[in-house]
Amino acid sequence: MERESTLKQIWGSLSQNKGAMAGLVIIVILAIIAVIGDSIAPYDPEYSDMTACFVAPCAEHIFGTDQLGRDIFSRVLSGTRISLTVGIIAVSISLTIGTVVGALAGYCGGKVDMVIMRIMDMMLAVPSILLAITFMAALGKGIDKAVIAIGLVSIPEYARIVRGSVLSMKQNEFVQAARVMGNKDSVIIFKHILPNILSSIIVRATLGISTAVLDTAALGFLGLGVQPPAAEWGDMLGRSRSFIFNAPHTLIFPGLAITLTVLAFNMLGDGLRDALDPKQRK
Amino acid sequence: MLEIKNLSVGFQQKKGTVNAVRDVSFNVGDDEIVAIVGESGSGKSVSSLAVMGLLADNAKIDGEILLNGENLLLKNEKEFQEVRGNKISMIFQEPMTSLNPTMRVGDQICEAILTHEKISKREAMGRAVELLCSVGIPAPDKRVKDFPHQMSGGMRQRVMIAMALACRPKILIADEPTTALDVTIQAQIMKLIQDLHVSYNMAVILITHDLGVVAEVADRVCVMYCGQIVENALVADLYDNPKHPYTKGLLESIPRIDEDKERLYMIDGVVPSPQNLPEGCAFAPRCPDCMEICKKSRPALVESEGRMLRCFLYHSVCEGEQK
Amino acid sequence: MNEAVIQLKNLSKYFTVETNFWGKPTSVLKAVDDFTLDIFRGEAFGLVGESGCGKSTVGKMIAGLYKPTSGEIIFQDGTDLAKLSTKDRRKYCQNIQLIFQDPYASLNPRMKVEEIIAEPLKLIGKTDSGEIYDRTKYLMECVGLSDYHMDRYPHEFSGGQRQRIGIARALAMNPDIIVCDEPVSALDVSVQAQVLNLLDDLKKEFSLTYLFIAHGLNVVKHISDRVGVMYMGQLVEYAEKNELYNNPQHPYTQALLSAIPSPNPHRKKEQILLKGEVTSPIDPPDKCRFCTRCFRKEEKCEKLSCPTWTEVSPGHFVSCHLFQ
Repeated sequence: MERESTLKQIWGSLSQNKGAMAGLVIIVILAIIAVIGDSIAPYDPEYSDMTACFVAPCAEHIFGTDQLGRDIFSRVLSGTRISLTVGIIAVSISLTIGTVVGALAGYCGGKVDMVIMRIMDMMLAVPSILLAITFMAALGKGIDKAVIAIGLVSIPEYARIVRGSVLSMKQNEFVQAARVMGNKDSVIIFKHILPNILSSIIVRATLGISTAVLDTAALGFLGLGVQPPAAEWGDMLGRSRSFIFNAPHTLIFPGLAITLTVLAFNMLGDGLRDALDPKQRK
Repeated sequence: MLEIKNLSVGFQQKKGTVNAVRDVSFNVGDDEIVAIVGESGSGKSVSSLAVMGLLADNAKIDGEILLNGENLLLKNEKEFQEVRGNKISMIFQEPMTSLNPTMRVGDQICEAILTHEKISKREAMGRAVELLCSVGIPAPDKRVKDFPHQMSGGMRQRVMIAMALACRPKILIADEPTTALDVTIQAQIMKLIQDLHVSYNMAVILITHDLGVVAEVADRVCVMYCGQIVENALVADLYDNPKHPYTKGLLESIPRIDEDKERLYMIDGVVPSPQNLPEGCAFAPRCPDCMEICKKSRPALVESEGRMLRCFLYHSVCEGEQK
Repeated sequence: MNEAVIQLKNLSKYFTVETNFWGKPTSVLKAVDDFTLDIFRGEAFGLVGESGCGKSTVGKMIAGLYKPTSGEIIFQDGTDLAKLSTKDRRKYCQNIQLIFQDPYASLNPRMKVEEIIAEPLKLIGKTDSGEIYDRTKYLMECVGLSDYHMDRYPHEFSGGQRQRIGIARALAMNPDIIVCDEPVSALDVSVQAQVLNLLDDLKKEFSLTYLFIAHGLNVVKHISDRVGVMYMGQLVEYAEKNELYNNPQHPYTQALLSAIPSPNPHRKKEQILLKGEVTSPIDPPDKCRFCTRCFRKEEKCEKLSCPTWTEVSPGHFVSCHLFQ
């Protein structure tokens, strides 16, 4: 009796997980919107109609309009591309570098560990937004630079998680067995250790997306990230803060968009974590 | 003194109930050391936890646990607390984790005393020192001020025993008390338990997987397999003449110091999972003397020549005798 | 039989417990201290001792998991493994393999059984997938697993079966010597017998040499040809097994043997109950390590430094002042 390939098994387990599938569907829809958002938007997202500020949601403007009379629905659609890319790229940067650095520190121990972790501690000691601004000062203005800065800033968080997990995983006898067999250190890290600590990394990464989106907004606020009038969820959220009581809809819809995205990634991440774990899949 | 009648424990789980203990009955006399032996998953720890009323909420318990004629299972949590520690005490396998690392050992023993008796803190501390002395800890008046991490494994197990003795229980349940300890320390602790059994005049239920320890200290043995007692006999009878095929196999398969064996006897196969027990006798798939009837129906625990056996091989014998 | 596969000479492993501000060690734990032993081709050498006596550390140094602080590990080709760099040491991995204690932690939970056993095959340079498959299948048969187990993950197996997988993985490299680090102490009695018999069979079939580390004296006696007893980082006595068990000389060995509970209720033997517990191996004084608990201690034991070896009968060595 031939059993299915590992990839098929993972997919089989994932497709049975309703939450993960819902997350995946939402992410696919968001991705489509990101590509064609501008062309399906009912209004020009940057067109401001000063005669129709703070219109509550109605048939014409289903999400209402903002303080400058711009259609929020169009802006949310148009903002998808930037926000989604910002979130994903920033997380990818911090995840990749953080994992490698953390795994090195945890695996090698000793002086390597001390040097790496002291640098990480130094980065954590400075408030993240201040650090991001410093990076921006070095890198220059622009949304692409902002993403890099945000990605760099959150490296320590990933490095800490990965280092801790690697340290405990390293104690396991199967890692020692791999060493006794004469594996290279890189093989041991990537084949034997990292797959076993995926779950904690995945959960952290999905949550990291929302932080990244909000941090971009904060940089934009300081004139370092997305520049008005371009639409971006975090930026929309930040600029409507003062109208929270008069016109809550200006805040709710971009907020919902961020929540939905994070939720979708989180559900997919949870499902992926279970599907990748042979103990969880049937 | 302690009678356990038809005790069954099932754990409610997503995929149905797992029957960890099935229809276990045995008695513990006033001055007996009864050993319960079995491999991991045989239900020996679960039965003792049931006696202590320490099972998780998803456990479904049937049967009766009678202490001097009182059914413990009918008691509520508050009444049970009166019994626990006072009449029945328990020591656990891991002396490393069963003591609170942030409290001095003297305070921990005092706490055990003060829950059940209304005496002053000072008196309790005096008792604690006495107890530590009786479990063989040198310089007990100094050691009461120690934290658990300042003591070695054997010392900690002694402290655990002292705590268990705090209220002079009638029954001491020792759940694998020496598994985590070294051989030389194990010998010390087993000696201590034997001595206390006499000096405190209490019954001991010793739960272990080590047949050697059982032979040295116990008066009677219950052998458990898959949640059932398969044989219950006096130590000398059981070791000289094991009757149940599982007991026989178990005794044969231990490598021994005092004799040389070219090959060890092996019980084939593995213990069946409690979700997936065979239709007939639980041991039938591994049994060398398996008969047709063993595969179809489950044997009952019957008496035969002064011992209890759960095996069809001996059913006909005793039926014949009864007729 | 008298050709040594591996020779350990004055092997020591110290762990630093405390350092001063400049990183200089002020307190060291002597896990293994001045350990000398030859292990011969085709034998099973049993190493017993209580927890923390350093027996596992010896095994791990031989297997290359720890680098010795000092001393030599001479392999049969004359190379001193202790002096090699990590990279050169890797070449000897296929000669020396290790079987671990905990069958639940020693297999990577994310790898299938087939991958686990094939990994060492790939490492020794086998590339043909057909050959690897056949060899994996053969190895699984050797340890009593069927080929339909190949596609499964470790968690689908019982403890005994997992230990078999671990053994197959060690065999895959076709090693000269296998260090068995407490291979059966985590298993139930009935399964323990199965694994011990398997190890016995494999030893004959593959003409292996074992260093069998365990705390269960009965288990060690069953499997070994020669047995050595360790106490606090030092070997105190070694001999052919029947000689050692019937005629123990070192007081510690005597106490250890008398402490084992025997599954025979009629044999009420005289137990030697040792006083106290193992003293700390951190910064031990330079005298017999056992003299604080010894029941045959004499005045000279307190004064003299560590005892040296005496051959009390052919092949039976004791390290104790009483015999000097």
